[in-house]
Amino acid sequence: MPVLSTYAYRDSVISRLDPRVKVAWLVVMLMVSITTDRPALLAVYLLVIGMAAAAGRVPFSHLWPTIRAMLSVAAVIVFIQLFLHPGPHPMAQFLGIRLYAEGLPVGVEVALRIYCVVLASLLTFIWMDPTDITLMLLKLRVNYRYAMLVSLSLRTFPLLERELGKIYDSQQARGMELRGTLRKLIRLMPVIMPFVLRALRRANDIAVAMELRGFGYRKERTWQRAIALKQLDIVLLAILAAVTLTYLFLRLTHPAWFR
Amino acid sequence: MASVILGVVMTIINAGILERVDTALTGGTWFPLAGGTHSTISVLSGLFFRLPGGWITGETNALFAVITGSTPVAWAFLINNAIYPVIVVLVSRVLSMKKWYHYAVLLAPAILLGYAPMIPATHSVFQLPWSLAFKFQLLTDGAAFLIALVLAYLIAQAIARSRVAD
Repeated sequence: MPVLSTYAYRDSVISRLDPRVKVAWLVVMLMVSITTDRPALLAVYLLVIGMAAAAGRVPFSHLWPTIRAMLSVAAVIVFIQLFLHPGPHPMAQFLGIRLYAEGLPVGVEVALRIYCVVLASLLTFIWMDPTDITLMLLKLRVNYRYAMLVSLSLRTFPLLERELGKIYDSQQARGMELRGTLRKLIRLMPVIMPFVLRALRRANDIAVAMELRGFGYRKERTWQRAIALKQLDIVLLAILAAVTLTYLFLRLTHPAWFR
Repeated sequence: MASVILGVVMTIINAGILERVDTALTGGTWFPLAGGTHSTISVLSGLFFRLPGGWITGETNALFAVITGSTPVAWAFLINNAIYPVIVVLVSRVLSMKKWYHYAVLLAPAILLGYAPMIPATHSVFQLPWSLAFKFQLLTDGAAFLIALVLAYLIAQAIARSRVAD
């Protein structure tokens, strides 16, 4: 499974939205997912996320590796909850541990929450061009030297992944067996050491190259593109603010609806 | 620049190998292996690039954890990784960091305080009882301490000898 699901432009309403709207959507989704306990509501949130993915024309195949990887997390969590909630309805016994049916709703709730949190985060960054993140930080008055680092890190990610692959290959060429996760784990030191040293050397090279191109010479910097809130962005931000306030009001006045 | 690269390095090692093993073993409720490399790289960044470097490395890693959806508690890394470098930098100011036990003295408070925000995060996301969330965190802390004590000391010596961070 690739570590990073990269951004790819898709012509959709969501792709054209301002990055601040996308981040606001993520914040709202995280807030409601974490503070809701009712599985039915969490299933509705998941449905909303699915609809947002469809509206943003993100193919299911793009999300599937993460959905599959999270299955093991969900399975372990459900198991823990079955064990943690003893009651009058024992379900099964596993390695001397008795599992109870009372833990099942809690397990399902946590599993749904995990999917909401992870998919909402993943989707937001599939929608966002790395440069947009930099531009958004600039709008938030972050110094451009720091704002640049976000898109820079996203761009160096595949390079460093390739570098790690080369280190694995060279260590294997020297006779070290590194196939399989367990072997990689046991022989972490001979891999991590050259990886860190090579990464630092690469950082020096990039820093020198940027300095030679005059990066940081002026306090102000111009950009090819700028972001600005359009009418649709403002409407959506207002809707998100209204949803947040309504949710908080209902959460405080009718807490039982969310439990 | 080097701090960002270290953040990316940390993410690649953790998300590529260690978090997978952790997740398969614990469902992401605690991170014995990923905690070790996280502490190692955070300490290196704090030692060689001081507080801004430590923050950049940590927040780069946190950002990638959120982007990749590597764990449902990734958003808590934003808080963890803001606290951790502060302790590393404060403790390393009074120690020469030439002996292995200096790393033990540095890692103990950094891990205990820096990883503390994970307790409410695992409690709220995984619905774990407070006592269990606390115990899982202590297990993460113990494993991270042991792994980082060896890795951070050896790699810091190698970096100092190679002078790549000068």
